[in-house]
Amino acid sequence: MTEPAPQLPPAIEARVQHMLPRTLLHDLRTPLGHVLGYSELLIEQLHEAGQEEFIPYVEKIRKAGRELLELMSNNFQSAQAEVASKPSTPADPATSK
Amino acid sequence: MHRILLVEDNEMNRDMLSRRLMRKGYEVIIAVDGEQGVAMAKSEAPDLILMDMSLPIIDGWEATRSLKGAEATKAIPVIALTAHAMSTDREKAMEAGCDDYDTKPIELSRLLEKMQALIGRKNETIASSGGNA
Repeated sequence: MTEPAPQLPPAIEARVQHMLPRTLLHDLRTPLGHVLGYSELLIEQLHEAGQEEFIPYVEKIRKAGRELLELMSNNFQSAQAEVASKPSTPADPATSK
Repeated sequence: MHRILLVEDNEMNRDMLSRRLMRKGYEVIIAVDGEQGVAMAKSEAPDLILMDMSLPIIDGWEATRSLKGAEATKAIPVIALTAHAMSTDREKAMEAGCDDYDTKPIELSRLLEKMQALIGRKNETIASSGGNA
């Protein structure tokens, strides 16, 4: 029989719940920025090189990236609202210093 | 040609943004942490600084406070760039002395507008003070 996982003190758990979506959003936005930035750069360069036939494919990558960014932002706001709506837990005297 | 100091620790962000800015006619010089950013601002006297805030050694907030507290660099406009996108992040950047703030992923046309506005304002200040600003 496995032992139950140790539980975080309520104050720490509330802090983790608050921080996780924020950290996650930051970590996801960084590589997504690379996808969007390089696809926009590539579109410009394809225009200049006269290779118009490839542009619709790169446009699809860029559009998908924008949709993903919007989805992430909306979900983050929902997660923030959910955390905010929860009753606050009393601070753990051992960790609130 | 305006010289931009890009302070950014993420290699792909540096590569992507510097390429895009150079294509728009800017000269881009690069620092990879806050300490190097402060040193290069003093030695290179850029027209504007694009400052990532989550940086090693000295973070972007501390680097900006240092730049704005030094006579030689206080007039250089600083735009904070961060992948954090909450209103408190903007407030934190402005409190540190940043002149403007933008979020990553970068929307280039929006960033260029902010850069032009700040460089224009800096040039007006220099002109009105007889070149001694």
